[in-house]
Amino acid sequence: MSVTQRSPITYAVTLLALVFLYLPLAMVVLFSFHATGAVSFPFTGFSLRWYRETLGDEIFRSTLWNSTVVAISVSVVTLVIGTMAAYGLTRCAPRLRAPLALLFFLPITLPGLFVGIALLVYFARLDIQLSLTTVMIGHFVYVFPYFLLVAKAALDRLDPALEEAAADLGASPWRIFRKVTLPLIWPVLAGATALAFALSFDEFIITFFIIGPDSTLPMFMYSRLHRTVDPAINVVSTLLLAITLVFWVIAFAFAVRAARGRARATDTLLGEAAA
Amino acid sequence: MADNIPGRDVLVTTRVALEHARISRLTLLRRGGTAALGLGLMPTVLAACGGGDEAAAPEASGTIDYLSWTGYDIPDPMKAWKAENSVNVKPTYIGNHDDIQAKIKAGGGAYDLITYYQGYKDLYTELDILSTIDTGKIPNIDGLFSVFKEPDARNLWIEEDGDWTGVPWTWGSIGITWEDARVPGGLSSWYDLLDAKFKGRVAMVNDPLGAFTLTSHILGKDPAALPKAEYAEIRDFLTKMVAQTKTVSPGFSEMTKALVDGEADVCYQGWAYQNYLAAQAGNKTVKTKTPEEGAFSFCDLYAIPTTTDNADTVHAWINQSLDPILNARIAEYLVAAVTVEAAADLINADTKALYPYDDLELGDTTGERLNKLFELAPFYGNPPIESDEFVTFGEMQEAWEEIKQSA
Amino acid sequence: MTSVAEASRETRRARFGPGALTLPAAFGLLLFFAAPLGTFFLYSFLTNSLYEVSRPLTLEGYSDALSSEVNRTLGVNSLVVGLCAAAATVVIGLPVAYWLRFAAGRWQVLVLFLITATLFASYLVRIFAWQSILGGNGLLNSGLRRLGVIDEPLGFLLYNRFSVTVALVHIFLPYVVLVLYAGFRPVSPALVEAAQDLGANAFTRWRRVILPLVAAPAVTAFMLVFVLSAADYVTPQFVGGTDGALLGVRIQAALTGVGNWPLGAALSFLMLAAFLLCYLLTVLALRLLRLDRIRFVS
Repeated sequence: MSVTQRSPITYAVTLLALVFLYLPLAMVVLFSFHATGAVSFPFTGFSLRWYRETLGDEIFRSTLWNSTVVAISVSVVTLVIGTMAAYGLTRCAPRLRAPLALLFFLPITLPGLFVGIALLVYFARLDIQLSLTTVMIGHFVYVFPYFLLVAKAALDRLDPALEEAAADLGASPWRIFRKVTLPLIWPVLAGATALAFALSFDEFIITFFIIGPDSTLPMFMYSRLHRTVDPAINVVSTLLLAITLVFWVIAFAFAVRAARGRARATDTLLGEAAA
Repeated sequence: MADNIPGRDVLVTTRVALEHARISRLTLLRRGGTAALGLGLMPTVLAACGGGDEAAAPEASGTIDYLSWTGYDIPDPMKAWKAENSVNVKPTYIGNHDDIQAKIKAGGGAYDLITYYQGYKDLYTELDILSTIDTGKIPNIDGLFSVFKEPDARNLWIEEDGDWTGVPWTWGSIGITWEDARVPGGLSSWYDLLDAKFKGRVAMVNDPLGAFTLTSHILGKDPAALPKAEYAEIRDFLTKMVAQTKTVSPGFSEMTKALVDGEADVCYQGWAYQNYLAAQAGNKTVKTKTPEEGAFSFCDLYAIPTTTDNADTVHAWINQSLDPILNARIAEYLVAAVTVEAAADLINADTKALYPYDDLELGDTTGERLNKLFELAPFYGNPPIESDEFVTFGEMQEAWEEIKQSA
Repeated sequence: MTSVAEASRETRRARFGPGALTLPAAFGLLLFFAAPLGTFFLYSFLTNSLYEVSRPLTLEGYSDALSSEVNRTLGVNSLVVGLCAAAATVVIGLPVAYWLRFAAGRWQVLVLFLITATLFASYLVRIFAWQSILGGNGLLNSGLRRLGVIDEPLGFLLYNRFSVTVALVHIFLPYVVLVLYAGFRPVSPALVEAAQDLGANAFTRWRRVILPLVAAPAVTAFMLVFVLSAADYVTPQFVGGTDGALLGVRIQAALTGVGNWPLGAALSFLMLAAFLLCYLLTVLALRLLRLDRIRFVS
C-alpha cells in the first residue's frame, strides 16, 4: 500500500534517531558487564559479577515478584474495564461521548507527579494505608487511558456493517460481541494489554509517592541508585530489556499475522457476498 | 532504666561481657555465624544472672516493617538471628530522611521500626511518631558508651523523665572525603576547599540540613539556635562552596561517583562510607578524615513508631543489634562506628581506624575520651519548626534552594 | 416480526445499553482520579499544619508559591526546558514518521519495532545512562580525547539544561514517533507525489502540504512532551545540576520534604494553569490557521 519514495534526508534523520535512541541503551548494557563498579571510561574488562550479585539479592527477587503481580493485576483489570469502556464509548449516545472522553483521557495529559501526589494526599485523608493495592490503583489510573486509546482506535476502525448484519439476524449484543467483534479485535486488545503490563512494570513516577512497605522493581533500582555506586541498575535494566524484547517480538509478530489474517477474512466475506 | 543501675554492677557486667566477647571472637573466627548467634544470647543470660535488672529480651517472631536507609536493615549481620527466630524483615528504603515522616504521616504507615537522625527528635515528637521504648526489654542497652546513656541537655533520645524514645545503634562523623591519587594527603581544613584550584572540582550532596549543620559548626554556631540575623554568614560560605561545584549530587553515592568518575576531587560534607562505595567501584584511594575545625556527628537511633503491631519483636531486634559482637559487625557492614563499648574491641582494623577508639581505655565507663571526639564533632539538633528568633527548618530549606540557584 | 413499538423499545434499549458499559471505568476514574485531584485542589486553599492541613481557608499556599524567587526561576526553567524538549522531539520525530510512512517500504515493520522497543528500557536507567555519555569521563569526552580533538573534557555537556533536555528527548522520542506515524497514516502518498509533480521543492512540500496535514497530531505530540517534560522531577536531579533544576523537584520536596501540602498543591495547580494556557493557545493557533478540522477521505 505504501509507495516507497526516495527521501535521503528523512532516511538520514531516521538513522541518526536510531543511533541516538540506542546509544544510551548500549552504554547501559555495556557497563552491566563492567569488571569494576564504575560506569565511566576507561572500560577495564568484562565480568558477570554484578549479574551474580543482583540475581542472588533477595530484595531484587521479591521486588521483581511484586512488580510482576502488580503489572498482571493492573493489566487484567484494565483489559476488562477498558474494553467495556471502549465499547461503550464508541456506541453510546453522542452527548455522553465528550464528557466521558474527557474523564477517560485526562490522566494522560497530567504528569505522574500530580497524579501521584494527589493520590498520596487522598489516601492520607481517607486513612487508607499505602500498600501494593494503592500502587495498583495508581497504575490503573496511569495505564487506563493508553489502553483505551488503542482499544477505541481498533473499535473505530471496525466496519459497523458486520455488527449490524449480526444484529439483523437476531443476535443479542453480548453474542455479537463474542462472535463478531471480539474475534476481530482480540489481537489489538492483546497488544494493548501487553502495553498496559509494560507501562505498569516500569512505572516509577507515581509509584514513588504511593508505595507502601512492599516495594516494586523500579523503586528497588532507585534505592540502589542512592546507596551504591555499582552497575546493579544496569543489570536489572539489561535483563528487563532482554525479557520485554522477547515478549515484544512475539506480540509484534502476532499483530502482523493477525492483521494479514483479518484482511484475508474480510476479503473472503466480501468475496462471498459479491458472488 | 539506665540511671538506676548501680555503677558497680555495670563494671562487672562490662568486664565479664568483654571476657566472653574476647573468647567468643576466636570461636567466631572458627565457627562463623552460629557462634555469633550463640553468643548473642550471652549478654541476655549475663544480664539475667549478673544482678541488677531482671531484664530479658522478649520473644521474637513475625514481620518487622522497617523504614530506613538502604542497607540499614543490615541483612548479613542479622541473618542468623532472623533465621533462628523466624523473623522476616520487610524494608522500605528511603532516599531522604524526610521521607520517613512523610510516609508515616501520609501513609498512616504500619511501620514497626524506623531509624532517625538525632536532630529530628523534636519534629517527630511534635508529629506524634515516637513511642516510648521499653528499655526493660533491651538488656544490652547497658553496654552502650555512657555518653549515649546520659540524658542530654537537648534530650535527643532520652527524655527528661528518663524515658527513651530512641536507641543509638550506630553513628559516624562527617569529614572531608577526597581522592588520594589526585589530592595526595588530603586537606586539613574546610577552608581549603574554597581554594581556586578546586574550582569545579568540589562535590556536594543535596542535603540542606547537613550543609547547614556543618557550616554552622565551622562558623562556630549552633544550627538548632541560629539567630536569623546571623544566617547571612552561613549563606555566604555556602554560596562560595556551591560555586566550587559542578553540580550538587542527589545522594552520597552520586557524590562518590563524581570522585570515582573523575568529575570531582574533594567532597564537602563527606563521610567514611564513601571510602567503601568507591572501593566497590574499583577505586581504593578515596579517603575521609575530620579536618581541624571538626564537623558534626550523626547518631542513628532506632525508634518504634506509635503504629507498630509487633513491639516485642522490635525490642528483641534492637537488643540484638546492641550485642557487642553484632554491634561490631554492624559497624563493619555500614562502615560506621559502634555504640556499644565492648564492641570497640571487636571491630576490624579498617573500621577501627575510622574513629579515635584508641583514645578509649577499655573498662573506662565514663567514656570521657569519646566525649572529647564529640566535642570536635558534636551531635546537633535541627533548626526549630517555628521560631521568631531563630532560623527555622523551612527557612533553612528555602534558603538552600536560593543558594543553589544563585551560586 | 416484531411490532413497531417493540422495535423502537429495542432500539432505545440498544442505545442505552452500551453507554452503561463505561460505568466501571467512569466510576473508577471518578473515585481515584477526579476525587483525588479535587481534594488536592481544595488543599491548595487550606492552611499548612505540617504533613496535615487544617481549616481556615487561605491563599497562603499560592502566595508562598508565587513570592519565592526560587519558584519563579524554576518555573521559568521548567517551561523553557519543556518547550525545548517538545520542539526537539517533534522536529526529529516528523522526518522519522515521514520516512516510516512513505519511504520505508519493507523496512517499516523492523524500524517501527526498533523504535518502540526502546520504550522498554527502564526510565531511571536511561536518565542515568546519559551521565555515561556526557560526563567528563563519558563516551563523548573519552572519544574526543582519544581522537585528539580536545585535551580537556568538555564540561558544558552535563549538569545543565542541555543535558536535561537531551535526556527528556530520549525518553519521549519513541512516543512522538508513534503519534506522528499514526498521524501520517491516513495521508495518501498520492498527495505528496502530486505536490512533487507540480514542481514543489522539499521545503515547499513540507510547508504547504505535509505539515498542515499532520498539524493536529504534531501539536498533540508537542503538548504531551511539553507537559510531561516540564513536570519531570527525576531527570533534573541526576543530570540537571543547578542550571537545569526544574519545578517538579520543588513540588515533590514541598509534599514529602517540608510537609507543606498547601504549598505543593498551589505550585502544582499553578503549573497546570500554565499548561492549560499553552494548550488553549495552541488550539487557538490551529483554529486560526484552519488546521484543526482536517478530515481524511479514503
